[in-house]
Amino acid sequence: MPEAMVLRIAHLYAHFLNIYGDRGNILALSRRTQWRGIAVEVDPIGLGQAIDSERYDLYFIGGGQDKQQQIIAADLARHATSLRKAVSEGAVILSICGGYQLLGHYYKPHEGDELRGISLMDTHTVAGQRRMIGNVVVRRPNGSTLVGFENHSGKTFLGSAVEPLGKIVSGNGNNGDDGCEGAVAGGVYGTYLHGSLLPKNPALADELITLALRRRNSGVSLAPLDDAIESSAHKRALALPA
Amino acid sequence: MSDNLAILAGKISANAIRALGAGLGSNLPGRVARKLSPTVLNRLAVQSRSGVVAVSGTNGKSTTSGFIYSILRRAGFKTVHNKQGANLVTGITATIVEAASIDGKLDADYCLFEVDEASLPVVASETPIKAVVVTNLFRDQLDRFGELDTTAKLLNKGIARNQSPAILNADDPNVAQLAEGSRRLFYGIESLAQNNQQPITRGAMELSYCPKCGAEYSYDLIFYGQLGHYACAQCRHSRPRPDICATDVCIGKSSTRFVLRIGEESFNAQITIPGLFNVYNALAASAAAAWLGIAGVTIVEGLKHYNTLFGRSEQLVVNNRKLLIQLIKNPAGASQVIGSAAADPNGRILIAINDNLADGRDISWLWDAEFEQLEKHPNPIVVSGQRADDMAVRLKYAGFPPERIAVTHQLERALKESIGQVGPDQTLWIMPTYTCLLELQKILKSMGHSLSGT
Repeated sequence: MPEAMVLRIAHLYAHFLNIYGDRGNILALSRRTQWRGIAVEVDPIGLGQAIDSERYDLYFIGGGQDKQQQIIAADLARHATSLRKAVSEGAVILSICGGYQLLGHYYKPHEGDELRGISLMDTHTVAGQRRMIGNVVVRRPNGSTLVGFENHSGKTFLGSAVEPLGKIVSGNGNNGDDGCEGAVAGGVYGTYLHGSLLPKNPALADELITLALRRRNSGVSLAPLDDAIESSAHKRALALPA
Repeated sequence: MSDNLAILAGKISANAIRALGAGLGSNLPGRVARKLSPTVLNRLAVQSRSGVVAVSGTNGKSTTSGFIYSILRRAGFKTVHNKQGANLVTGITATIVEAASIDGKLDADYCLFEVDEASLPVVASETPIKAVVVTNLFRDQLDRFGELDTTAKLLNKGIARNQSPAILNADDPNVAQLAEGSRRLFYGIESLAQNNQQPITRGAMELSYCPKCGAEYSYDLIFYGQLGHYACAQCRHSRPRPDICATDVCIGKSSTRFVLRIGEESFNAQITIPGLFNVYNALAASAAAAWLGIAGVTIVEGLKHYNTLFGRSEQLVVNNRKLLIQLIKNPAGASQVIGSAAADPNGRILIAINDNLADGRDISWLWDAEFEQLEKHPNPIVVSGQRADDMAVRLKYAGFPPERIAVTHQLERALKESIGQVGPDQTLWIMPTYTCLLELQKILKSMGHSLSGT
């Protein structure tokens, strides 16, 4: 193992986009990295703060409420260039719900002005008529499953330059119409799944950690962990009613 | 005429439900009565001689209205109260129908209703609300209402309907910004006793940003969650000065003392339930009572003689073993309860999590509750309920050793095994979500023990 490996995580708007237990995702990323003997540093990045794109391997941006989305959208625009550079240099981004919407081209609300995203992913979101709330099961292209809980009224549509994170087995997903959930473009991941997402989907957590570590440590792979408790929770969640 | 029929039908179905031994706080009698006469709630509520007091907010509705009831009783008033916590319009209708006579008369000074946040607009449109008390606004069952902002809008709508005076928590920025343009009375905590300073925790912080300009609030004091003494550095929007407040709050193991200030007067107050959150509940009740013109000495008496409610800090002895049941339902309340349990390293712990509608179907909130406080707890922890596995994952990632987590989905087995492991000098801390609490109530009943509210 390379000497003194460190995973550096930037938690965007940590005190602001803090609903739906997204903190669990940061915990899962941190613990699972530490359990492999690799150090972790998590920095909360607040409104108005600068991002050092050299520093971070992994970025997390969670979900907030409508009112907060406007404030975040304006602030996030400042980071568009540095985040694009970071991704091109191998950094990984996980975005959930409101954060996921803002990484696309725009969010069009029922009333008022369009919120501009930072176009890091070829997606756009339109406010829907009904709120999509409930348990979700997703099958990824590699056959593995993701479980979580969705709570959104925005309907997200994917362009040709992104792939869905997976196909809906139960629940609504991106828009409730096309059977897709989430989006992946290189190292940029977006999804509507709360729950928290990563503690119950340890394979995805490890995928993100591995990709992020490879930014500085090419070819690194993670030692397996005892995931008995996580697996039971995952299996139980597969059987939950939508 | 149709009212009388509705009342009769409501009473009959209430008796039938009791005879069948179904759960408490049922909405069915109210639903039946409203079907027969949609105006029954209005026609009965307008007969209350002094009007309706509504209590709403995320946490503490039941305890706050329990305190108010106790004060009103001390003051000699006859009060109709939905004390079993059925706080939707159907449950409130059921409560008032049960209190009415067959010929449609209501003999009461006050109607005291704890009201679900989403139900406040409809209850306000049907009853003459004299005052709306709001406890706090935390994230609770977001999957039901969508978002916190939606909840604030619902409360504002309910308050505006009768131009009711609003009795608001000055320390909660989410609450203090409600009902602008209405008559408002504020309550809050001014100071903790010297030897009682608590560490500042921001774990369950909900909205720490100014609603006026979006800048971050700065706090001189944080009591818990977003509750404290806040001010916006940018636009100077700040915590309103409370009209009724507590100073020198001294939290003991089983009771709390403080100085209650109502205007220029001061009283020594004591409540026999622990936790800072219950001081807020007592303050909300005191402010409501003061607003109704009840004397300070009577308020203090009422606070002192209040008994605990179903599942809130309930203590009982089963097989010579001490049990303490503390309902958990959202991050702020749960973090407080977890803190109390963590302060008893000798204690045993049982956590039971369901995800039915009444619990909130989204259990993400477990990740915002500070289970990290249990990281160093020396005894095993039993987890139970439909989402026991998620709770086990939560404890593991909180740093609690996985080998000391016991998953027993079936609650009856989990309870009996837990009681079996409790020593004579130990307490079993039970933290259930709402429908787990209902289940526990049944199990304990079959063992010959009853919880309050039954």
